[in-house]
Amino acid sequence: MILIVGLGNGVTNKIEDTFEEMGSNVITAAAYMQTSSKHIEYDGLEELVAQDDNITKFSPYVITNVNVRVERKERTITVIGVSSSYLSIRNREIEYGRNIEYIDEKREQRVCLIGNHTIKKLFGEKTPIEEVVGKNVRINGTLFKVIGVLNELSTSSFSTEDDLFLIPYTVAQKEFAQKYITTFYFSYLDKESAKTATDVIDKYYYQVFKDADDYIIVDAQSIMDSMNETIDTIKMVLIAIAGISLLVGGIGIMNIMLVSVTERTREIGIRKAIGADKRDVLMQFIIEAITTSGLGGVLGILLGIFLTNTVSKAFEIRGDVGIAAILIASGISTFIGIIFGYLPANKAANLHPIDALRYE
Amino acid sequence: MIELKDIYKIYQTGDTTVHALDGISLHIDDGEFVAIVGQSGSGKSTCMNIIGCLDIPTSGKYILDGVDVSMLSDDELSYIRKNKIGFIFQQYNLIQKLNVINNVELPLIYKRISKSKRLEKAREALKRVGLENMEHRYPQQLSGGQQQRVSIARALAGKPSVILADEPTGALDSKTGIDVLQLIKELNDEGNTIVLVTHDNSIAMQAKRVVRLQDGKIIEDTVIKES
Repeated sequence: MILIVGLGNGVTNKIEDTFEEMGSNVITAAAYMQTSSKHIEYDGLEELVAQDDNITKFSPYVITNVNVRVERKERTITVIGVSSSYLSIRNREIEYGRNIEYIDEKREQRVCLIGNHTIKKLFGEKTPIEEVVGKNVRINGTLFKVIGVLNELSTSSFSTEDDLFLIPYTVAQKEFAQKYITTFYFSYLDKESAKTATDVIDKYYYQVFKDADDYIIVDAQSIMDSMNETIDTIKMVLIAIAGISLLVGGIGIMNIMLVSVTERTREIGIRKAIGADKRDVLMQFIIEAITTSGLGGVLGILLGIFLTNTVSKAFEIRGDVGIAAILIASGISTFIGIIFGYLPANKAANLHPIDALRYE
Repeated sequence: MIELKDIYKIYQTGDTTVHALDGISLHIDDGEFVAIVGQSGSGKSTCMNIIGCLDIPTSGKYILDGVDVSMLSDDELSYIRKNKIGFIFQQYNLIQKLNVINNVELPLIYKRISKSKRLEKAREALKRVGLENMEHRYPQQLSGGQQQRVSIARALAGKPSVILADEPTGALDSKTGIDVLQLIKELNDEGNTIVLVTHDNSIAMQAKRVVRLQDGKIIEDTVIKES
């Protein structure tokens, strides 16, 4: 039961982390096919965002994987063309240097931001980030100047968010010969405005394309909500399973207590014959029940925590047992122990000592 | 002092009624050594159960040390047992998972006597039966005679008014039986009231007074030896 709840929390945490990394307050809009008559213009979106209070910022997203060269090292790296707003939309920061600015976009400056991991790949493991800023890199054959280093997200070592270059979208369009921008990122004011913002963007896109199949608009928040809903359902099922196992365990405890009372009827008879009264016999069995089920409970909790941690490590999720699960599980097991310890003990305590003594 | 007045114990099984005790009157003074003898079915066990407050009579009066105990509740009988009665059983009836000293101190626990006093009294009782160096053994590590001595120590520990011995030598070989009987005799010499129940005449003859039961009635009550 402890294990199940712990792992359930772990999976939820993992998914939340992943979304956190993606930037949860983000709407993504992507157009599949753009023609000269039907396409999204940067200026048009700029106007839309300026007019609507729900949408705060937007950025193009022109992504490619290209060869990047530094001195003799060459690697294939993700290069994304963005605007100056991109970092704040994605909750990213500059660790050193400066961001891409409006002027870089307008003048199509060949400048780039570099991810922490990329530095290690291209410049070597121990290169200080300060040294990288100002260096030139050759992206797809063209020289770019590094102007800033992105902060490290580091939640997992293989994150693509730490291994990339960001360049002005205008430069990206030109370098990678993309006439139209396929994808845009939007940020919105707060959770409440997510729906309206999505609708506004959708309406704009529909006006352009006149066909909802030509584009897709995704709101990260709504995905996360439905994900959470699914996870909650899974959790409920898991808890139900845990509950059933608790019930089965309870029946087990009940049987053990019943058997032990039956087996020890003679002992009860002896104890009563030498002066134990009902209360003495009852107390003895209840204390035994509490220690039996309590000890089992403690062992179960320890085992549960241990397994949760082990499995969490193996699957790289943040398992979290939670005090509520511990309290409920141990509470119920002790409760069952006491109840089913009490009932047969009460029966035994009421036995006539001579009957109990004769019991074989 | 034990005073049984016109005690009946009637069992009803289906249509048949069995008079296990059929009007028994018996007076046992403090310090007596009484053997209750009889064939099986004579009512001697029922008689002992009633004297031992393990059972209550269907009718009649049982006065123990001036208290009428014939109609007491279960818990009240427990109270009488722990304060007035010490049992010695044929099968010793020791608790197997407790060691010797814990077995002996058990009645004292129920009398709510403090731990240190309990141990002192239990050790004293063990010493009396000659098992002072076996405190930490468990019953199954002891011989039958030793186990019976432990059970005697347990009966002694609470300083009861009367010690009831139900076939105390029944499970022992004759040599050990004689030793145990000798111990019981000594306890009587020290002033303990002993009621011994047996089917064996030769054992009964060791007592100072013999009460013979047959079909729930006393058919003989003889003083063998003045105390």
